[in-house]
Amino acid sequence: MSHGKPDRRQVLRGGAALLGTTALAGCAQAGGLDPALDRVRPGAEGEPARGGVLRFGLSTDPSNFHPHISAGSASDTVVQLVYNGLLAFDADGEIVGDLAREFGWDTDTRYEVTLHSEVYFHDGSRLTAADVVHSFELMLDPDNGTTTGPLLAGVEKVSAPSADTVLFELAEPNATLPFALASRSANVVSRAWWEGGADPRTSMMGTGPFTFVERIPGVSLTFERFDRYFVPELPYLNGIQFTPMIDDYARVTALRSATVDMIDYVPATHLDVVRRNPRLDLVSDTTFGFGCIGFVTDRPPFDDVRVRKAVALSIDRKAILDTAFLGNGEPMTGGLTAPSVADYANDLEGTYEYDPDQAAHLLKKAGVRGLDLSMVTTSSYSVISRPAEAALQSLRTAGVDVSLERQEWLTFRDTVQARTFPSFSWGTAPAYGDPDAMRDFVGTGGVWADYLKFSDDKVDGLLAEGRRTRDRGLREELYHKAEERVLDLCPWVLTVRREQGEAFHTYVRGFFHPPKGAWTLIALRQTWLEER
Amino acid sequence: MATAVPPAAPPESRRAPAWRRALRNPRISIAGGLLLVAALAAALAPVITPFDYRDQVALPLTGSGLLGTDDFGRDVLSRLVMGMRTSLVVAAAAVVIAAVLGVLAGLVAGYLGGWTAVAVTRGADILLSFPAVVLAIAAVAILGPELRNVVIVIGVLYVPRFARIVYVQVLTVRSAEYVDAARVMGAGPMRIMLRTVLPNIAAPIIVQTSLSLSFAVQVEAGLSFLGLGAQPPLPSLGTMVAAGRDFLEVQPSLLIHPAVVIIAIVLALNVLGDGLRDLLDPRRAAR
Amino acid sequence: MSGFLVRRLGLALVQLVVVASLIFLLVRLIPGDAARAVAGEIATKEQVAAIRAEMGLDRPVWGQFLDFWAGLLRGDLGTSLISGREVMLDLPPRVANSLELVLIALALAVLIGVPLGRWAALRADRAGDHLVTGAGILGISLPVFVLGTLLLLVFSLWLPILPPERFVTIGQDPAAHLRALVLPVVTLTAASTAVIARMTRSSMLETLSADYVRTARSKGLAETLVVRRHALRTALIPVVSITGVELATLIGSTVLVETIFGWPGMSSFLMNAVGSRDYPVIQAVVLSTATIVIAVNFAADLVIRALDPRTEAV
Repeated sequence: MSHGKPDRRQVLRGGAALLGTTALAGCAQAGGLDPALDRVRPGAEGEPARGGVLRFGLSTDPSNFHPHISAGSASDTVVQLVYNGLLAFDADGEIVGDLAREFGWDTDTRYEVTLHSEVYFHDGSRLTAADVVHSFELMLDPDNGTTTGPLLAGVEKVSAPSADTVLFELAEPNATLPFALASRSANVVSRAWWEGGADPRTSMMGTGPFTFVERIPGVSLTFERFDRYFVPELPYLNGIQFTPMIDDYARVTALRSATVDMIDYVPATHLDVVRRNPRLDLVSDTTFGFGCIGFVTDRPPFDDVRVRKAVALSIDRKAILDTAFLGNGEPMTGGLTAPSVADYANDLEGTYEYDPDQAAHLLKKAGVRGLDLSMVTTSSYSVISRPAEAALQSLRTAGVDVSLERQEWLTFRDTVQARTFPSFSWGTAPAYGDPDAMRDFVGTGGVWADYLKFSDDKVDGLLAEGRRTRDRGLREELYHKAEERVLDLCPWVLTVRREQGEAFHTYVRGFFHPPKGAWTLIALRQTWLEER
Repeated sequence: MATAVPPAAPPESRRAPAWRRALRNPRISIAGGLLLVAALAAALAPVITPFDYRDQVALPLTGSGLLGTDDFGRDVLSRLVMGMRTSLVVAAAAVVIAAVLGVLAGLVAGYLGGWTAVAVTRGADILLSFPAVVLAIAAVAILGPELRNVVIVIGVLYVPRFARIVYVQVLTVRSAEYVDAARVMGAGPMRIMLRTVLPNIAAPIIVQTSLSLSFAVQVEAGLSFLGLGAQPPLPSLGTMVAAGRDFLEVQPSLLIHPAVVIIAIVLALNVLGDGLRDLLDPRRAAR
Repeated sequence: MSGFLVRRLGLALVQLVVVASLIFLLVRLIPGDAARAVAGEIATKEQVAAIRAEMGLDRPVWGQFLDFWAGLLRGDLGTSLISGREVMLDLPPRVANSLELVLIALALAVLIGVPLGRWAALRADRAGDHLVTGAGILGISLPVFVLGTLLLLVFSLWLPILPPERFVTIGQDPAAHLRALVLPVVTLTAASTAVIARMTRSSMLETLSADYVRTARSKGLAETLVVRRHALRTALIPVVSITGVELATLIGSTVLVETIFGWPGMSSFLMNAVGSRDYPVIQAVVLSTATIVIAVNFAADLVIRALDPRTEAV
């Protein structure tokens, strides 16, 4: 083949450009971990193996590392490797100490925490009670807009009576304070580091089991073992490397080909594939993630409770579960709180079963003929849009015609706040595993209650009393009544609890997924790798 | 307006009329026939589909029906026909917008020249230097995720293509004798453009229309694939491919069926466009 | 030539200014903002407002606009509202990752497309030509996302030659990087190769029948010399301009390819930023793609001027 002049010029130009970018890509992104860290040393009989680097396929690229503002579960996951809170959740979802050696109520309005001694920050400095007090003052300052702030509502003063104790003084009793202290965004930071001008969104420096090594946005997040971690023996791993794998299919396939050892957020469409694979383990819960349809309760047609109830009865929750999540999850015919969190939840099951005849009857009584419903949902997350679409089918079958508008995530949230649509289809999770978490949704002033235009004195009274009460049996009774009342007023329709979990190869050990308490990957702190 | 017979006929159709030659051309008639069938099926979709595209007719992901059911238990065949209808309607509407606006802009710029021409050509350049998807995302986010907005976005994105072609063509015919003749005879600029210039540059516009349709089908499918186009439960070929991706292992046919339909439609449109160009382009015809 | 150069450069700059200003205003018209993206789902209005104030999003838009331009003139693209990282830190590797795909695909398209088109043109209406023409039209009829997904199905699942991989940089593991490169590049190359081959073929046919080529032939020059010295040179003019257009198309296609293959390029960077209304990042990415497209068009214009014998004297 003969080459003309311009032809060759093209070739050269293309080649030069190619070399240029490849070199640029190479220079800009060299990095990673020392391959020697990958070696796993087997442990003694019955003991965990040491060493190795866990490769983790993460469903989102963490947006930032702020220790007090939750920027999504991926961010929380990495933050909890570097920082510690005062309390945490164990494998059963029960509250245990993290930096706290001892903790508990001193009186009804005083909560005292005794810190572990010999806790060091990654910069070598020693943790003091003053650091803890400073951290909580940061969280409580409304100007900082922290996630933890509202959870700590009622805390009037945080102080350090001695070098290793921290005292929380409350305006009135609040039985949920321990949940706030165990939350994923109640992390303790070094005062000196914080005030030294560090940017907490791009860097991390805490007392946790892993130190932050580097981040290549969109490519990887690397963590190395912290040798002076205050819990003896931990962590077992030499390091953890996260790779953002946003595409569900790609993430699952990467796990199966052992390109990564572990992934989060196993999509419902792949749960069965993972469960059937003998080389993989799956840990999950159906406690937190749920789907719902919310109504704007002060405007027609949903200012009439009979219309709201008619929708609740028109929904075939089993069908939604089967189509949207291929059966992975639980239908919600009762209240918000899951049976794993409170025993009374079982008594409420069956309040709203699929009953199109009764629904039609209610609509007729309300004088509504051929309910025409416009509903907004988001297209950004399939865990929200799939049940919405499935609910649509179910409602159509029951004779309710729905026009569903799907908006992009942030647009959707603006729309819901502005209450432009009479109803919305959403999915989320309670902030923590206590019935009190329903306050955000149905307590006056709660963010969601505002979306629903819902406010009920009786519910508020029960919620307030539940918060003040520490006796478990008594609390159950109070929240049982509150949920019953909410179900009767029906400001929203609960549809399904979805199964949410992590999957990993069987050689990954020590990981757990708390069945209640909170949704957290904190168990990565004590995970280890067996030799393959 | 393109059907108007020009006062001074160009040296174009001394042979058999174009449509008759088109029918004799096997490429054009096969591709055109295929498209006609697709268009008919799309037009009659609500009548000829065995099920309502929104209804669950069987369990999810089964082989019931001709092409099985999708992940919501809906009939894939019915959705495929409806999806084709969505894609074709969006593409056709978008191309009409693009053609009308683009031809107008090109005519005006080419005929008036000067600053108008600079404004139109640079405007086109600026529009083309934006990543199309960014514009689409922004427009859909601002205007709301309705198919109508997708039509507008694709339409606007394709205005420059028509404007440029028409502009260049107008430049070449502007000084042609028959245009001068019309001008001498006292025809106004509007009349000259519509009655004299336009018919003489109809061939490249027709070819561009057919090719733009093929692009528009692809763009609509691409936007829908990213979740920016047709909103469920209304299917589009793009959303069906996107949905099929989640079930690649369980039921690859969910991906393959819509993929084959898209390729067939785009291929037919391209073959038709090529055929029309060969037929209508005098330079190629001379060969 | 220098007058043309100055004028053309001026136009390119005007284009950039307009694009930058437009995108600044456009992203702010989208409902929702970064403060809401950062604040959790259960954040109160007050929390969102506090974060908004901290990000400086509560200031008047014209003030933000002036700041944006002041920064841009200093070469400062700002700081991501979400990650808090300087955009200049994250943008270059993302752009490099995308350009790596695009330029390899384009180079392959030219290297395969031009000889193929020439070969077909010299065999006009024979079997080889029909084969190329047929393959060409099929090539331009394969939407990028359809081809990408089908390739994934066939080569990752049915014949697992190239299973999906964790993206690694070429510095981390060159072999794995190249393996991950194959499918996205093939996906991108297919249509462009077809476009360039078709353009070369038709443009060659046109020039081969042109007067001066006939003259050259009649002077008794050898056919290969005619093709090489006269026909190909002229025929490449439209090919160069279509190559410029193809580069813009390829950059547009990276949105789909990066989504399908999980490639951390600038398009996925952009999609993420749009999702969280990270204005500085959106502006930076759009501006860099626009710069690339405008620069390539500029370069193509220059090359065409250099190739075109009729404008060489100017």
